Amino acid sequence: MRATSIVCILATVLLSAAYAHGVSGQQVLNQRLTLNVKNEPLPQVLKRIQQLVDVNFSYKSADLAPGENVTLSVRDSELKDVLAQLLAPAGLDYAVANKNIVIRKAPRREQTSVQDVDITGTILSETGEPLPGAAVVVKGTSIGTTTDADGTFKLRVPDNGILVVSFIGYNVYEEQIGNKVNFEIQMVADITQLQDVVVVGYGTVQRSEVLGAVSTVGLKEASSRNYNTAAELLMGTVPGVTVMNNGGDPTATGDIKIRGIGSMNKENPLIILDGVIFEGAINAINPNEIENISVLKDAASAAIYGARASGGVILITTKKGRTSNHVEVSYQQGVQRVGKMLKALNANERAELTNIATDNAGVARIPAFDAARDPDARITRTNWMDEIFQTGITNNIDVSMDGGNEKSNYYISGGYRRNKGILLNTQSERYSVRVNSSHELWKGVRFGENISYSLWDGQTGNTSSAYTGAIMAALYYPTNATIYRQDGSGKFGGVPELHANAYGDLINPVAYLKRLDQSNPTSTLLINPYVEIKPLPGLLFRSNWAITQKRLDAKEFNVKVLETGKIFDFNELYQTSDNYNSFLTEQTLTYEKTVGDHAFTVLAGYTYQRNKRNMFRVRGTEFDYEDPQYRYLRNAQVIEARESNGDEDIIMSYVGRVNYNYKGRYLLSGIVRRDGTSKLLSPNRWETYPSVSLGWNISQEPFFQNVTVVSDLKLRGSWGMIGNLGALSAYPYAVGLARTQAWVGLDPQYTYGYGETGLSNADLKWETSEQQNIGLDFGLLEGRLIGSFDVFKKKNYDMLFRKVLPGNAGSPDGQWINGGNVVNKGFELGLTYRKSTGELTYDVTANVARVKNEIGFITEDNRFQNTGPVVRTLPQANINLVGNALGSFYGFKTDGLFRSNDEAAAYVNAKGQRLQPNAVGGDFKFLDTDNDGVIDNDDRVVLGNPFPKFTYSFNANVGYKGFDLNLFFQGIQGNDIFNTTRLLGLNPGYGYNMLAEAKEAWSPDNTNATIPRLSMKDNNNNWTRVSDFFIEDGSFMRLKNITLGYTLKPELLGGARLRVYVTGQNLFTITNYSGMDPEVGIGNSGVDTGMYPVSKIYMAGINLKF
Amino acid sequence: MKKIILATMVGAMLTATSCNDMLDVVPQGSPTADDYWRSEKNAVTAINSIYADFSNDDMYGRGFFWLSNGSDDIGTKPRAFSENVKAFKITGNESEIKGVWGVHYKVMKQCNDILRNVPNIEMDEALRNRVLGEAHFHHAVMHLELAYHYGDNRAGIPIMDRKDPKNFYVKRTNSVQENYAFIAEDLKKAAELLPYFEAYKGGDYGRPHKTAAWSYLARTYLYAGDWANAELYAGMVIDSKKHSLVPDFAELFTIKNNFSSEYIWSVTSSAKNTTMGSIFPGVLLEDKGWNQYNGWGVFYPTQDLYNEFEANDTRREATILKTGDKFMYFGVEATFNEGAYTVSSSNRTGLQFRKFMEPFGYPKVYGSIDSRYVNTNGDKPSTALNVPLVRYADVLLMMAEAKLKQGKNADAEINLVRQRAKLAPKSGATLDDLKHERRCELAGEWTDRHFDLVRWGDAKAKYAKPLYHAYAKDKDGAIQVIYAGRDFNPAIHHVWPIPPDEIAVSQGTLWQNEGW
Repeated sequence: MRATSIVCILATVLLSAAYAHGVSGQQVLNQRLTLNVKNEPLPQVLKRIQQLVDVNFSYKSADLAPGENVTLSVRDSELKDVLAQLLAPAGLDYAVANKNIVIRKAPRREQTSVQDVDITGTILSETGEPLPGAAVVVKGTSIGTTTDADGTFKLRVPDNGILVVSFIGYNVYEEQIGNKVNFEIQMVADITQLQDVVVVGYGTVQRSEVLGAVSTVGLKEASSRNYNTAAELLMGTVPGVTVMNNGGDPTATGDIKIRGIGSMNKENPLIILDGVIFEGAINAINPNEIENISVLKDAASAAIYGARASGGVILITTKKGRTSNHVEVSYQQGVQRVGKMLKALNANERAELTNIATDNAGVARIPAFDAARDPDARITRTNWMDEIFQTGITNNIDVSMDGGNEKSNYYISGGYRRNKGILLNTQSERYSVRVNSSHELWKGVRFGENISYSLWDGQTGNTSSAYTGAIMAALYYPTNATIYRQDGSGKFGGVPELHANAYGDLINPVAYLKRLDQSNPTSTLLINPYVEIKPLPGLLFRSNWAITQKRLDAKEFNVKVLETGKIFDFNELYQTSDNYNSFLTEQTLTYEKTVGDHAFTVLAGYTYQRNKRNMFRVRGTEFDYEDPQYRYLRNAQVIEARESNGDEDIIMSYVGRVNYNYKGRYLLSGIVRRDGTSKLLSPNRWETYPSVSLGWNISQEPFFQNVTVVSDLKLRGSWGMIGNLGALSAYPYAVGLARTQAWVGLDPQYTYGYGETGLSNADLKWETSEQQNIGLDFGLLEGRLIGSFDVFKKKNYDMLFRKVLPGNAGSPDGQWINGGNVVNKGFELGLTYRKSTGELTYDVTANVARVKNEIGFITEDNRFQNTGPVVRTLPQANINLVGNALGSFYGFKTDGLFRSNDEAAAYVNAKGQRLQPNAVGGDFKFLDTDNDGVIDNDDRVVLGNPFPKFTYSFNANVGYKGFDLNLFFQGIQGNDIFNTTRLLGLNPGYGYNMLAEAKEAWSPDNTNATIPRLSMKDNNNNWTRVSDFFIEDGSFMRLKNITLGYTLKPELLGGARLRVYVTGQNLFTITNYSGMDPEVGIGNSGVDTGMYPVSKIYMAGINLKF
Repeated sequence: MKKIILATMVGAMLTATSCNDMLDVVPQGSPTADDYWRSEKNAVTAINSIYADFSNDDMYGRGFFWLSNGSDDIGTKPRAFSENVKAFKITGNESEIKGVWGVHYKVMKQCNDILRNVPNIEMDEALRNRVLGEAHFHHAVMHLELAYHYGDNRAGIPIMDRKDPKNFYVKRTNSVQENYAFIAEDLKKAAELLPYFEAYKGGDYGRPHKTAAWSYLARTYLYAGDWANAELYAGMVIDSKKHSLVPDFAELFTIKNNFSSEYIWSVTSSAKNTTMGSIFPGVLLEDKGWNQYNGWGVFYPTQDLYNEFEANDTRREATILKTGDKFMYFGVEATFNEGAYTVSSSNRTGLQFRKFMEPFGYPKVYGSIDSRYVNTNGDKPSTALNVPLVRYADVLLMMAEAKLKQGKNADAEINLVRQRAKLAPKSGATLDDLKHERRCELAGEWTDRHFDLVRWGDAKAKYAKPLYHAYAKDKDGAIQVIYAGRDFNPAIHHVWPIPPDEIAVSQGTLWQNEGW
């Protein structure tokens, strides 16, 4: 019997994620009950059993013949015996998965007398996990059993029979018994996954009852890839979720955005770890501990988490213990290399090009580049790009154990990961430990806890500053310089001493990296005990508590830099302590009841969270010795307390939810939430947010039963509102004065003071995010092709942001205000095709999503406020402008270069006046976009934005005789990048070495060039205006992962499962972007300041389970 | 059992939901504006915060000096922005100059906070007067610096609402004269409230005093074209007899003379902290500091300036280093532009300002830069030398200018200055003599040669002449032109453009100066 054919599902919403995961089919069947029924209809009896034990029955009403009443009297019997007595006479049998028991018609009995043989076997999931509770029967007979906790079975069968194995969520498996006596059967998942339990807020629902835009990432998708961070689990697996690396820095976290960027007020997804708001960084979570992830994208789904859920919710469930004991060990090791390097000019080329630039500007040649005066400057000695990179090494080891019995279970895991980056002296390390367990103290009372600890540490160089970035410096540092002094002293070398000023104010990038001495140990401890009490049938009380402690003890030592170039004749030690404590308590009460065809679940809850932060930072300087062993404050001659601060905030909420469904066809869910925050003052402190969702399981309608092409069809729609506080500071209504230090006096002394630099706002209110979603879930071709499609609109209004005040307000830190709205519109489509033919199984998943971000309104005085990073002396390139995406690039449009002086002179306005009086051949031709006859700031227009128009991914898995292959492509389309390497690398005026591309600059012999003429002067503002020359298409498609694995037959290893694999990441990229790496992310507003590039990774791994 | 569980459950729900004032938290961190103005101490710490911006590079590090670069005294390291300043072709949005506007208003805002709140604090009257006087003074100085850079008779700059700090959208005044009038009022109040410099103890040196307020009054009236009042207040400074010229001009620009008899107002600086102090001396120092210090080498004196000095003017060698001149550099006698001390190619003019080089003369200690004199941080090349903003010689010359403009004789003032320079006195000195004296006396200081020329109406003629390198020859063997004659339009270029980004967010209260 196929799961898809089960029409009427009576099973009510499963309430507890933790509980659901703690239960196996075998546990369910072992539950004991006492029951006395006399002449009652079978459905009613089943309902009574549901109330007595923790089980859900599903069946097609047509299978339960009406009128056939049953009489039964059992005392403290196991459920499986009860079911046998109950169902066999009615010609029914059952299969079990978790707490769900599916009742169906037993195959017709055929009394045949054949020779019986004893067979044994193991039933495994797709990933090789044993499947307890799978039904194993001989086709056409009543001979059958279910597998035990280890997924094994024993059965006496006729030798000519056909073995049929069924398990909820999997395709039915059939095999001729023949002479075979030992079976190892790997089941293939039934992709309609109708019975999948989906983790949603404060509970779980079956997939068929999901009403919102909820996506899940199961272990299946995760198994064969290799993950650096938990964020990468979401990369390309969920449509509408964008995970972008902020470059390849081993210490960086990826940006996760669900359905775009909703607000100028930092709106990030809320991470819920095992039901608790997780305050740590997502890279503190070991991806190997994760059982599955649900992503709640629309407001109606996320609303249950209210206050902080407007950026979407990521629900992470970690692994839990099973009823038998398992050990899993895995190890990975690999190397990584830089993908693409940028080419700089060699010394001779640089000298030549600089001379051209000085000649063009009509200024005297620089002596350093005069071959007669400084021949040495023409000798290329060092390729700095080669020297700053190294081969990175990654090691990863994870060990986990789990086990338990019907009452208790545990899961313990530990992991260590080390990632030596591709830039010299950069690395990261992560240690993680987790203990999850749960225990049934006495009937109806379950206690459990999740405890995790992770320690993360790393060191990285600066690659985000347009002044001091290490990669920038490597590009622009003179190639006639050497890493070490040529005198053999072993000291680092600087720029050549002769004509030192000709080389700009950069420091030796290799020295900079090798001198790095930072430690940033960040520990995150999460203790989450909970208790679940079921005092009455259908009623569940859950009390959930969590303490999160995040602690950073950072140390950074900067040595003196005495090489020629830029001298820093001091050393300093920073010590920083930053403690964050969060306390959370949640009390929820759930009641579920089924009356006839009507099923209700009602939830009421209360949550309270208090966050406290405390930090201090001390600086010591004037160390006599810089040896690493003396880098302690005790050796500093001067110690300054730089900063010490703290803050505290509280969020409190009341929440109510009603889920209702009629015959599983018509579904309704409504949520009302009342949120209060300490960050606002009354009367704006409390806000109520409603949401509602509706669903229609069309494929379960009687009229749909004859449609065979479509196996599953569900239409859903939702509307909801959620509050957003985003990055609102703790006390926007009472902003602290800035603490200042000044020199006053004859012998000037530190003189401290206080001044108001930011304004308070007592009238702030909640920012509201209102979202609508319409979605369609479908299964075609007997469920081999499944997909879902969502269209959404999300509008954030009363947007909270720190308004930048006009300069003459005198408050540079601005003021938090509610002002403006942002609309995100888009769609998401996910398609999966899955098939198995003989021993070949394969599945292909494609996701595509589009999000359009647009500022709908913004308060008048912020209309033209520039944002984003400052790149050297350029005006900021990003702007928030109504009708455009947040942080759009804003500047001048060019029509290429003037090909000649004549062409430049001929560029005139209507009155015949030159539009660019100073322009000559090889200068940019700026467009007079407002047609006022003058080129000025009013001609600036939006030139693009850093957000992708489309994101897409393609994931394919193939399995054949123990081999598995994964291919994963990810692409983003239509985003723009501001390429600063071109600004500094093509303009000789900075006095740095230039990009090799500079050779293609405009010259009288190369008038078709796209790079402006080389000149030490910039009369035409080629380099002081943000223009479309710097804005590049950042689209790319990248092979994020390719993995080939092989799993040894368990028989060879006494039942243990051993998989070995090799994997490659980022092996090739298709892009037109001219910078090092297009994956610059949106953390830096799409401005590439020579960012740490994503590396190519080659790894091998081994995984052993027994 | 069930009852117990149920009761516990209900109890837990109730206790959890009963406290509604649980959302009240006490803001942590520094005091807030509402809670701050309570005591004498707060009045002092509030005024102290004003001085923090003396270390701000946008204030007296480079800031408005970028625009002084428009004058004929200075050649600037070749960079696009400074070339555009020289050619009067900036937009005002360049990052070098954009922030200067906001920093000045920030100080004015904090002054207004003090003027609004300190009168209500219960405190010592004398101290209150000093604090209020300081606030009036600083507000006026910031206001004046902005006013003449951006305002003219067509429109001044917005005067902040002193009563309501949240009223940001204040229109440009109808004329900069309104600003000058407001500034004068502030300075008069400051002069009334502040003590003479001599009343301060060493720890308070660097706070404004009576004669500083009068001096700024003279400067304000000079810009306003009110010669009588300029004369009045410059005269009050002189008549107070609190100041005198330091006998040796070269000695004036030394750390030990930070608060000499000639001091009236300056940027108090120190090198003791790697992140504070005025970087101006480091900005003027040779690019890369002959590989010993991170000099920035931004502004250089022109040959034109050098030529202005009379041959026996002792100020010339104290002001400008030329090839072959000896000077102390980190404890060693160096010869400018020779051997290891050859100037870099970014030295635009072949000369170097010497006025602010004293701190770089001290020897290193155990091979390290001595942080008593020079900042060890190459990114913050500040020194222990205060950067003068108004000194007594300037007051004398302002007096002279005011007198000459009214047709009065100013020989006394001009000759005091000449005498110190070891020059022969003049009799019947003319305005041209005054202009000559002012240029030589104050070269390379923040007294703003460019706006002197604008005020005198000389900018167009002066700037039309090319500026030459000290010695470099072009390929024809002639002395190299570093800046060709420039086209200064007095109807436009007498003010600078307001940063367009400020105009964009001003809700129409700001508009651009005509022609920019």
